[in-house]
Amino acid sequence: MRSFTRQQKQLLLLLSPATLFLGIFFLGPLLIMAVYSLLEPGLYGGVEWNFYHWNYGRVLGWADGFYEEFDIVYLQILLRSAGLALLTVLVTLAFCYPVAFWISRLPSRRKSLCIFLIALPFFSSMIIRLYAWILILRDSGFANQILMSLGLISEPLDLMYSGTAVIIGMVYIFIPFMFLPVYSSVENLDPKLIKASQDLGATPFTTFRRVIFPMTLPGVVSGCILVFIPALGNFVVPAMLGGAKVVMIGNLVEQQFLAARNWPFGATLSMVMIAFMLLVVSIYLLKAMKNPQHS
Amino acid sequence: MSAQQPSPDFLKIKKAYRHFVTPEGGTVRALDGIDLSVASNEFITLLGPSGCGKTTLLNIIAGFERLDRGEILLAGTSLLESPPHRRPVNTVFQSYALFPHLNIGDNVGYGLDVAGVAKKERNQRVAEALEMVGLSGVEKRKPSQLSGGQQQRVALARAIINRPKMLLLDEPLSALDRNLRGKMQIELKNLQAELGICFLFVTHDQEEALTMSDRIVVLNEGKVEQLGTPDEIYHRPASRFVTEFIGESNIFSGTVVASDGQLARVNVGGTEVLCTQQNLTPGEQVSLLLRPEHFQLQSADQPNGSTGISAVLEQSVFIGRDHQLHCRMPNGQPLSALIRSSLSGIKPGQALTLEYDPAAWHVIPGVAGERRA
Repeated sequence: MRSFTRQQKQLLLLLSPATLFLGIFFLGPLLIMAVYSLLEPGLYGGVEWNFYHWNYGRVLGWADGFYEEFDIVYLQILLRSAGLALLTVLVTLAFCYPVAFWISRLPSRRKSLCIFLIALPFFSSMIIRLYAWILILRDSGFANQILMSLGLISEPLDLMYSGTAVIIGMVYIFIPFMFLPVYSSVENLDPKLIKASQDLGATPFTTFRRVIFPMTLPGVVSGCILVFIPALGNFVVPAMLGGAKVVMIGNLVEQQFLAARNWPFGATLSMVMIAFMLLVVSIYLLKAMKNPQHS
Repeated sequence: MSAQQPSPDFLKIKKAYRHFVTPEGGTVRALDGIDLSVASNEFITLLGPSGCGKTTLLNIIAGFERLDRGEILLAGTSLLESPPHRRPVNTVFQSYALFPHLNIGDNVGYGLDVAGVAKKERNQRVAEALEMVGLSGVEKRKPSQLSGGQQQRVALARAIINRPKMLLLDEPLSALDRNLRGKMQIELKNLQAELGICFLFVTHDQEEALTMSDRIVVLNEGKVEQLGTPDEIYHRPASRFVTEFIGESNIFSGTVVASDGQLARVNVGGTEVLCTQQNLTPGEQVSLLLRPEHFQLQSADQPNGSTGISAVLEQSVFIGRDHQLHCRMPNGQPLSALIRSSLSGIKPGQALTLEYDPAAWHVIPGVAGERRA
């Protein structure tokens, strides 16, 4: 038995609650899912304890070994979800980056107010806020009423239950996740560096490319990851605003567990989604680490 | 060295005004009608207390702030319409403002990179600039790996690499310790002579200004109090403000008792002093300056001459080479004297006679009586 130094013991003591919690409530369920994904689904729900790899085969397109029924619908859904999550990332970033700059230039009291307003939606339930969006987007909703009373459209637009509605809802839900890390990196950017760059002859665009963007990249990377991961797995927004038209990977998992009662296949879809996320995020992190930032 | 003849009107500032509104709603006149001409090879210092407008003026020349009205010409062309990146001036910032995500070579080469200078020439000029500031071979390091003094040199190299027509320095030495600051002052002066360009140096440290400058502009509340060589500023201050801001000073308010056109007798609080001043008329109220180093301690064996001030010693402080004497005149006015000789046998409470040279007095213009600047 190796003995620990005092410092190591203290560290162990401090870390043990988090380690225990994550070990039991995060790794445990993950392990159960990993095992389930390799078991045969029972006829009336539940699992048969046989090793069964066709769950994964089905995700990739082969239904239970019937080669003639090759169908990549699940991969399509995964890719569509990834595309939607990416679009959410890009829209939230495009929205948050300039706003973060604007807010960082405000006097400190108004700055705090703006940050409070950005974080305000967290105080109420996401479901309630999405219901509000239904009121706004439906045929007789506020958006259509305003557009029609302005005479811009003569018939109500079909906003609800579309990809557009899902994007609007996702962007709305995930803006704070993008804003906070981006804002903190923008706020920490020394305005003197921008002045120095201009002084040395750089145009505003060059200054952005060579100084502002690289210096705020860590915040942008964190924001993108914080939005991409939950956006990819989100099923509430597509379920409420997308209806049956927009099925995302999250909805699929939900349906497998709750409606189809095919737990092994739901677990398999989750595992594939997790693997996909890890792949995307590690590519992203590797790229970001290639130009190491200041310490 | 510059091959061209230096032009005396290289930088011309005409009637420059700039005001700010404070958060409380007040108005601060940062520049209140500044007129200034600077030569193309001059080391000129803007000196003044914080809030006097010196940094505002520097920022306006660099292009980071605008002017309310007035004109700034550099080599005959107006600067005001160009954005900062098109102005042929470069700045050394107070906190250096080195790019933390770039190494030293890329920091110094930044100006050349954004100008699209070819790699080979760029690397050569980076090495040259670093050599010029005495910091060769650090290209691959990060700014955070250098000491404050080294970062200062990098900032300097980065600012001169574009071969600016004029270098703006915003209190660049204020973060350095005293010894290093003294060394950098001399190096800056040498660098300026070597480059043959105009250095516009901003500082609140009068010692620094006196050491380095060809000329000093003393600013107060947005106005030029005095423009002159360090010698003029120190020995012939143009106002009470300059007198008090530059060096240690004894300021006396008095009335001229008699004047024969050469020598004047002035009554300062009951003590009559003699000073060599031609244009004083009897009855006139004047403010007189005598620097502490112009006093000498009268030895006991000398007869009491007419060019001495009696005072009581309150405290004496040894400051390395000189003794600083804090005395009080009979009318209660404090007096400060720097004495080189040894002070054996002199104790606080003792009455002294402090001798002066009548030619050392300076009449501070524009101020009569006890009015505070």
